[in-house]
Amino acid sequence: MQEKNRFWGGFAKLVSLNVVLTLMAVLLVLPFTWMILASLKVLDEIGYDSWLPEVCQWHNYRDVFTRKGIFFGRWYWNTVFVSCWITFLQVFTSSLAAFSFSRLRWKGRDKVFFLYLATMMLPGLVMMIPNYQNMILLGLVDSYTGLILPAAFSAFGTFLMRQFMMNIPKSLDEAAEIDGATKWQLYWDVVLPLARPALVTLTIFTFIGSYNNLFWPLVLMKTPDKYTLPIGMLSFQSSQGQETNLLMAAVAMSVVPMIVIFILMQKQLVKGIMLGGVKG
Amino acid sequence: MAMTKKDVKDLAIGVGFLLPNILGFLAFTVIPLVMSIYMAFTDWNLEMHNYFRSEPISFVWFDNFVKLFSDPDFPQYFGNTFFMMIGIPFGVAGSLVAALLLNMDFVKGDNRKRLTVTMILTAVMVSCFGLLAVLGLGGTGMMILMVSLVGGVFILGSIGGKTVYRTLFYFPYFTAGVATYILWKKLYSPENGPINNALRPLLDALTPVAILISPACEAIGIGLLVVVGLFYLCMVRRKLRLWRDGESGSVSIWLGMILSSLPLVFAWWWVSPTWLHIAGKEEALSLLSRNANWVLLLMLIFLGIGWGRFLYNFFFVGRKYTCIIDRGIGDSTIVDGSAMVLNMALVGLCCVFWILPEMAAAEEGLTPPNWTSDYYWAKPALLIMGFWGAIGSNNMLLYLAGLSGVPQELYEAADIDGATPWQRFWNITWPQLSNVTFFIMIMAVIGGLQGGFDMARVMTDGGPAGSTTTLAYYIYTQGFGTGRLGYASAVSWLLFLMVFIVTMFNWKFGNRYTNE
Amino acid sequence: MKKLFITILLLLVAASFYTMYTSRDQVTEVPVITWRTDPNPQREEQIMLFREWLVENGHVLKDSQGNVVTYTEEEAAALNEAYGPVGAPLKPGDLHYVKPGSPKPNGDVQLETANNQSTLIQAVSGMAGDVFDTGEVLGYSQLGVAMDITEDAKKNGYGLKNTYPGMAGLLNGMDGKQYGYPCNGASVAMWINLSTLEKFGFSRPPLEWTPEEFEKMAIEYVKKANEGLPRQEYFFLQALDSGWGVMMAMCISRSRGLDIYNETMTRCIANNDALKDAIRLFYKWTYVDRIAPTAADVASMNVDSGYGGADYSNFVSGKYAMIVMGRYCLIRFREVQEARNMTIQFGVSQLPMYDYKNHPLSVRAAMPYRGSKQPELTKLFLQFLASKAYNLYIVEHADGLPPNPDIVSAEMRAIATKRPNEHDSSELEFIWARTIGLPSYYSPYVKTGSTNWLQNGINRYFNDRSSLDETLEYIETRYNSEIEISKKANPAMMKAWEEDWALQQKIDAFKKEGKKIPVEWIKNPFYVKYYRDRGMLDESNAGGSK
Repeated sequence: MQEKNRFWGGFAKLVSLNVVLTLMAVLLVLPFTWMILASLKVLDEIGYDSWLPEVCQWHNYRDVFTRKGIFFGRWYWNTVFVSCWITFLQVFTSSLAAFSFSRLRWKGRDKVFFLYLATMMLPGLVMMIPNYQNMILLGLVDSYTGLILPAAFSAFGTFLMRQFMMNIPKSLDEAAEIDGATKWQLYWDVVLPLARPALVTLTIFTFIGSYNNLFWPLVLMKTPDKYTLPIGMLSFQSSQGQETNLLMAAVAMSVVPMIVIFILMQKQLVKGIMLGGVKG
Repeated sequence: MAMTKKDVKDLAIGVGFLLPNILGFLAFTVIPLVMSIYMAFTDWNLEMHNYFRSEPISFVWFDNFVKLFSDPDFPQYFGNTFFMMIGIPFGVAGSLVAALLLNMDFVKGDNRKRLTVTMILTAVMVSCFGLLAVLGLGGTGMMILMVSLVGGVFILGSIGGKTVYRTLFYFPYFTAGVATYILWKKLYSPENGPINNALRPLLDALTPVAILISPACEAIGIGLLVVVGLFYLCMVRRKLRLWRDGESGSVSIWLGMILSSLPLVFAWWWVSPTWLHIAGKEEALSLLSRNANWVLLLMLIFLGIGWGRFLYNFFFVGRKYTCIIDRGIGDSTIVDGSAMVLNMALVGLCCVFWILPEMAAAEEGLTPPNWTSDYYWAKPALLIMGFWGAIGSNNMLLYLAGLSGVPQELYEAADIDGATPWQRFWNITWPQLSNVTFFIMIMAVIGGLQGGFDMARVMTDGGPAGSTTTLAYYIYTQGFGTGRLGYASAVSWLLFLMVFIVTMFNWKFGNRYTNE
Repeated sequence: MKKLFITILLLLVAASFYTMYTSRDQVTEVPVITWRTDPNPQREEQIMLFREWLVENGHVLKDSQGNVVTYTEEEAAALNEAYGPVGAPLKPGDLHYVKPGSPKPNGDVQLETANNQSTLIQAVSGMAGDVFDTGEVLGYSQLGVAMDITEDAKKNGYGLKNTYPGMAGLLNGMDGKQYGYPCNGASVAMWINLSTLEKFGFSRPPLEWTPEEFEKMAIEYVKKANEGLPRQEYFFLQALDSGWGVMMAMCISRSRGLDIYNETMTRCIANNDALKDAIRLFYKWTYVDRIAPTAADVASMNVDSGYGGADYSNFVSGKYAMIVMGRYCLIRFREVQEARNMTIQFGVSQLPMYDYKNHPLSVRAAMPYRGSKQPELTKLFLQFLASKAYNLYIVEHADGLPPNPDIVSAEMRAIATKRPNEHDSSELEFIWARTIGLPSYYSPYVKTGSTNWLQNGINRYFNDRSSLDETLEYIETRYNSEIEISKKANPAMMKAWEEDWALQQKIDAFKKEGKKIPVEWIKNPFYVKYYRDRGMLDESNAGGSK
């Protein structure tokens, strides 16, 4: 009898917990639901009380690509292209630097690291204005290079990687050294594979960060077909923003890559954040 | 200090690994940094110094900063930046709640239980659909949509457990950017956005209720203020107790006292007739002034009691207490700061009650707000959106990590003592999470100081009438909009100064707080 | 790990090549200029015209031996495909049909229509399009980014003489040199949807009306149109806290002889009764009489927008009975009629105003960029804007006022009568622009890109942020502090301002004594015209010293 009571008690608890969590989750997901449904409506239906479209207008998604002055496909490509470059450079150089900071001993290392740390405090805005002047000097305004380079090296990435690498046991280095491995091999074959969660975390953060970046492309890019999605969406909104259904289709499509990345990588990401985060 | 051959070799290898990163770092961080400091003290503006024209740039010392502080709009933008940070405690609390819920036992529910849940739920859903089909309720489509959404999440969640919910919670944060801001702009559309569409019938239903309680509104308002005052007194008592227990030094209690007094002063100021008169809002004056004396009196009483107790303790009793002067500052910032925000919200609610009768008596009854196109609602609208994104953020994950680090023995011991869940939380979980909370708060404040650009640019263009222009957006309009680079740099360095203070605060007190 | 990195690197390099290859900036055989302008569908056709115009005027592409290069079969086919509507390439006999074997123009124009609002910063960085559309030539010329075209313009017929007299101030720099030529003029008038009016039993309003007459009709209209509706759907005109509202306020204020700036434009004088009354009226119209929508009303109207924005659509669909706008609203109007296969009657009136009739002109000026890599072609393009072909096109297709009115004035009547449902509106506006047209307010001392404080002030007032007196005080002080800031930032401007300020003192003294004011003292085009019309101007010395 008591066994049964415990069963039903636990059951009630589980159900109520699920109910609460479900309600929270649904509330958070509602805007996305509306977005998808609105993107399938004809324009006149948008203001209706019912969220459901009478007939699903799947062609709205196609229309986004064929609109004049809206180079949606191109923007998509540009964004992914630029973000990939930034992410690659960021992850690669940061991990090298972090390796140097965490596992090599050299004179002045800690001072240099302190400099890195100190700049992390700076608001990004401080650097934007002079950076723009530099871009003018280098002739990189309105170019992909100008979009990629300033974002590709950050103190944050180095910091995150270093924190993680500090926790990889030092004994591995010694063992490798006894085997006659060079530092280069140590980096590639020992430390990097072990730093995988941090690599993934940094990859995702950087990718999402540059995928969403608005400020820098906004001031830097001029030619419409070199736009990235955020400024592309902005100009879509300002030129044809009243067409809510198309706009929502565009929004949905620009959110999709992020959701896909998240679902694919979430295990690693959660692990990375949990391992590296608090110690910052 | 000669360097040995090995030193040199080590240096070469070390720098070699660092090289790719540090070159970029120097070029795109350090050099601009130095340039920026220089620019902040010059009259660099694009009208005189550009691609086609290079007049000499003159060094103007602190002119830009003087200009900044004499700019009539600056206080507003500065205030906006801080106002937008009101969302932080709510967001963090949301994350904490989400983390606590997610941390509850999912695993122990064995498969049999889960199966039962799933089966029952499916049955409930099917019967819901059946019911809908038979009764043909109004707006059937919407009902089916909602039921299937809730049911779908429920079933998925019961099967998948934690992971499913965590993923769903994390979506808003993960996707935040221009796209979701555009989405919210549409959600907020006053006449046909889904938010107001949903609010309208609700408010229509509420109108008679509001009219009904109209006579009592004033009393409710005053009642709320009493709650504010009592809460304030509680905070004072708590501070004094902490002081007595040697957990907070005098800096901390002064800080705490001032922070917790602010909402009361604010309430007083808000209804103060002189202030309303300055703003030239005679109608508003008539609306509120009848409460003004009450509020003044109430707030004075509470402030008097609070400060009286405090000063009495401080000057007569406190001498006996020996506590390190800067102890417990972290605590007073977080707890008292959050309490302040909560109390401010209560004061706001009280104001709502006072205006409620007029609003309900209007011809159309209660109407939903115009959100981003309304001066007063624009900021709250952005805050709500921020809250949506903040619940399932990295903070939630950090809390989850923190929760998994809480030793189970503590809970077991508490269970033996027969502690209630509430006590368990305040005595075990909260102190154990304090370092996480502190870290999150500091990061959020630093982020908040620099924030608001994207939202303002996408949703409001800083308007209406500058109500959503934060410092970051101001820097953009000044630097890139009108080309006053020197001035914009000066603003950005002011921003830096604030971030610097917060960071220093973190370094100085963060560790002490978390290690205790 | 290593392999992964190298693979990613290789992929990225490949992607870079692909991106570079598919980017638009490839080398072409002819010089190309970019034209930064609005996303008006007619721009494409205007470019076709430009290509034809180049060929007609002998600017054809020649190879190294000096032979004229002609279109091959494939090139012509591709162009006809691109020129025609989707799926229906142009056939022989169609307008703009490209014949294989016809000569190629030595130049081309690329459109840049996306709006990302970083124009200023990019212009001063040497990165703007070769020609860009702006209403603020003056401001840009002060940044030093505009090309001086005074001489070339005089020689090739696109000078100030060849456009509206009231437009001069909008095309000149502070130094008196010409920096732009209109690609179309815009004058602001009240466009009226007569069919909508008729639907609710109202007849055509007079061509000239006072704010009181306007208000009377508006209140009646709104009452009648919204009878029995759960919430107000019909308004008399568009939102007044917009840029258009500002135009209207200025017009009303000017009709009582007061501008936003003083005679030398050295100080803002917005804090005057005329403007105050106008803004008070606007508030009443928006919140009390409800003849104009509030910001919230606008935000909630869910309309298909297309070219020209939401105001346009609301006007066309009859939500607004009238709209303050330039002549280009005709484009959309005609489009809609065609699409719905119906005829809508409509006409034009002057903005409601008091005694001194004036007609605000603004300009969509093509401003050649100083950093242009093709200065010759850029100038040719401006020359094209003054050509008969282009002006006729503008008149015919309603894309604003023709930049060169003289060249088409003979044809105007005939074109206007072609569309009876437009009730001579094109011609009326054309005449007003030429006779009572005045540039909208501006001051050389208020920078491009700075906030429109007049609109901002109206917004504050509409949002109950300040009282009316405070609002006007606010507008005036804000503009004056802008003037202070730009003065201090630029020594040359400081000097100019001080000279002008000295003149202003003299003007004020003259005014007090009731003496006639020498025309060369006055910089504000409104006052030049106003004083002239009132006989308060001394023009004996005009053009003498300078």
